Amino acid sequence: MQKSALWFAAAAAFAGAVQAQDIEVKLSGQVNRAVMFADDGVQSDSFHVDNDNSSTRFRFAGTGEVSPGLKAGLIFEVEYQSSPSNLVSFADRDGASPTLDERYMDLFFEGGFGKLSLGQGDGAANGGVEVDLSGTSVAHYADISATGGALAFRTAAGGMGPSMGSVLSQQDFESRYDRARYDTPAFGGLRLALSTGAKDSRDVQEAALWYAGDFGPAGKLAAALGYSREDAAPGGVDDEVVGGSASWLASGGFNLTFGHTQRDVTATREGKFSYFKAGYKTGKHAVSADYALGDDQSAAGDEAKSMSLAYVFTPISWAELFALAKKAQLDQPGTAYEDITLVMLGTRLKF
Amino acid sequence: MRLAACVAAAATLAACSAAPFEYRSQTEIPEGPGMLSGEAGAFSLRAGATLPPRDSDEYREFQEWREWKRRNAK
Repeated sequence: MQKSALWFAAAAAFAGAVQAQDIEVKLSGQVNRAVMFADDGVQSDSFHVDNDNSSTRFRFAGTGEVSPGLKAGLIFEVEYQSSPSNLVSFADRDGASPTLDERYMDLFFEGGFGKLSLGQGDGAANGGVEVDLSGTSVAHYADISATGGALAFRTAAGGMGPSMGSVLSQQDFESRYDRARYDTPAFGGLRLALSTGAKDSRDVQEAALWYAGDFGPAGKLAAALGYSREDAAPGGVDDEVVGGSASWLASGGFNLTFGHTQRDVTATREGKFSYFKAGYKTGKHAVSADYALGDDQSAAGDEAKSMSLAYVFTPISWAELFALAKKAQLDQPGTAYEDITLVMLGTRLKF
Repeated sequence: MRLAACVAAAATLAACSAAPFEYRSQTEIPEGPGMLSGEAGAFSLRAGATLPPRDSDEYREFQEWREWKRRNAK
């Protein structure tokens, strides 16, 4: 009897919620293509790529009111990249056959208590080293390996060394994975995020503080500070990352960005990454220069650098045209490597 | 020591008189109008939006056609 009453009450509440909701699903997406020219000191060639700084993708997103003050929503987003700019190399100019790759399969409930998410989505600290207000992220940002990441450093004799991505990773915590995540409400622009889940069959936990504040004439400041831990593989060490980033955009358009992470790669080696960016944006134009350092990421004693210049032109809100010029260097004890030079020209169209 | 410095910095930021804004990564699908979707920036699929009202002629004709189809099924 008690069970029946409970069931009836729950059914009535659900029916009320369904009647009250006003659900709308939105489909949006973008195509982001570029031509990339690369020279590793031994070989040079051109590539037609999907710009992995912000890949070609589409999404379904929907929200509905469950009850007054409680909202539910879902995000389904996949990417479809032909010749991703982070995977092409001189040996494989196509990268890989395009496939639909999951980005978000996420649902959430949001109310006065904050936001609770469940599914494939951002870990609490994902993007914590990539906070950037420059307006040029479609061309370059902290993810150095997004353009040319699979290109290997070469010796003058043609010998293959480590790839750019393996020595200049931004070590951005645990990216996206199947997890439960909780975000507190924002207090003065500051909020705490926590997540726990599984990635590559190993348990993952993350925590991060996120901040976004508008100081009026003094500009905007966005920042993040994060920590992630992935259980060790057999015989390995726990994969722990600590770091963060901050970006300041002055009201006049000048902007500065800084990021840093440290990661336990082995019991005796800690990979480090530092990122600096200075830029200026006005109207439809944004320009910036960045400098990145990667230490001890691939092997002890490795010291990698990347310098680049980018320009983004946004003639209309749904179209961006971008240009990037980048040089990457690797110093490794006992081996001399040639520099890698890259130029990329492309466009991102939102449909 | 580092943790204390971070907590102090966070508390200072939260105590500042800045107006909160929603930070959105520029590497995500941009907000705003789309080339095909126009001002809305997305194609909208609203539940029930494509069905005519039950008391409309269109709905009645559809029901009649469905009934005719059922009776004349091969």
